[in-house]
Amino acid sequence: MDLTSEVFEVDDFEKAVELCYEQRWTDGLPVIPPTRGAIERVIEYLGRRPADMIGVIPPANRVATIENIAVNSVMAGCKPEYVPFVIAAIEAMLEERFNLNGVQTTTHNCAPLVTISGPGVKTVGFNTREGSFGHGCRASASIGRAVRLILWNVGGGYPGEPCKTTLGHPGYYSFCVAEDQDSNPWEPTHVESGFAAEDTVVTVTAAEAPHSIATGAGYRPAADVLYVIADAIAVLGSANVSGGEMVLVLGPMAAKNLADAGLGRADVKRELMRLATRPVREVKHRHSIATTHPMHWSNIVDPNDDEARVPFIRGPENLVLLVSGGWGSGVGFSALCPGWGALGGYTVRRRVEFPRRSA
Amino acid sequence: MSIQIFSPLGQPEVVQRHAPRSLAAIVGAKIGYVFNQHTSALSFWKSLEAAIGEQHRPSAAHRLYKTNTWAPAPKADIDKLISETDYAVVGVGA
Repeated sequence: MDLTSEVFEVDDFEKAVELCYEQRWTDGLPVIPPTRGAIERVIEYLGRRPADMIGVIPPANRVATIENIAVNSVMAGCKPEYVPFVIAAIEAMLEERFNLNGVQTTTHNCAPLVTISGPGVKTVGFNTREGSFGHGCRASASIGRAVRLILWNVGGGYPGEPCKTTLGHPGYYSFCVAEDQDSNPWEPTHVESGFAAEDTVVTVTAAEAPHSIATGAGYRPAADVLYVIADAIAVLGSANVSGGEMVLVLGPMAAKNLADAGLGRADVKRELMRLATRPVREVKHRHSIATTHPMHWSNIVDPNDDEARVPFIRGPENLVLLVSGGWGSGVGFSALCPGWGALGGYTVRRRVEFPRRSA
Repeated sequence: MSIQIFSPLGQPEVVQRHAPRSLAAIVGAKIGYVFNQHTSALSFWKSLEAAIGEQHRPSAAHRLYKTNTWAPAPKADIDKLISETDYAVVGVGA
């Protein structure tokens, strides 16, 4: 196979790991040294040419190809069958509305959150139960990790220069979660965007770290559950005071509570849009984007009316809603990942294209 | 036995750029202001425009104030600004 990446030769495995650090090919965590055999297995699985171009990754503006996506995926620990998810995530982030250059360089603490839904979740073996955002699952961890390494190595998103995120968050190492269709009382999250239920879809949104919400779903009626979630959304420190997008991951207990009350996915969104507001007298303490910006809240409510309510969810499409996690206790834990407000990182969905295999 | 490992970096994008051109003088020329409207730079930008107007007395001023602070301005808007101006001052507050 004709690979064009620069080749380095070292004496043994330990030196290979150290070389990856010395070359700044990793962001602090160790990586698997990418050898020819491992890279070729990925590319052979994909059935594509190594030089096939996926796009240009800002801010370094280096070219992402099948070859260097394979290299980074090997470094992240991906099995070959994980890499179509990685490619779909990168392609989604390169759509203009995602504003990847801004996401990579902003002072805000957002990172691309990769959400997976559809039958591929089971096929590949994502963890959708206890700890679905975190530890314990190779697919979730290594796909999220591969995306980060591509943003790091091909995109050059190094902290300080040029990545200005003030604090970052642990999801900068790996940030991936999959929907649990078994406990989801509604259609898969991607169906509301026009995809077929049988599609496997990657959704990317620039998002803060998950904020835990104790919804009380095991003990309280749906109206209280919605009230608590809405309160978690409408906080003054959130960039969503200027609109933009967010990801709400309902634990199965919370989702069941709402569905048992007769609420569909659209109903939940509508109620959260209605409830997730703050009065002008409070919001005006928050220094937001320029008032000349069309998304500034003063363009949609009267800034002189102290009791007018400023919505944190401007439209149903601004809320990515999925079901994932363990059943847990009656506390009904869920999680909110606020977005980057009016500045970009907007949700983009992409169907995962698996290689066609002859029978 | 040695191990060969492959760089994950990828190649830089090759971009054809126009050669920069120089203006003989900017006094009296047509100016474009491109500004991302970041809150931190609003006061500064207002003062900057006033100072440029006073010192260089542009014959015309065109403004491209971006509605999304971080995203590039639409190419059509940039092309229009280029066609209407001799030079532009670009301001990015952050």
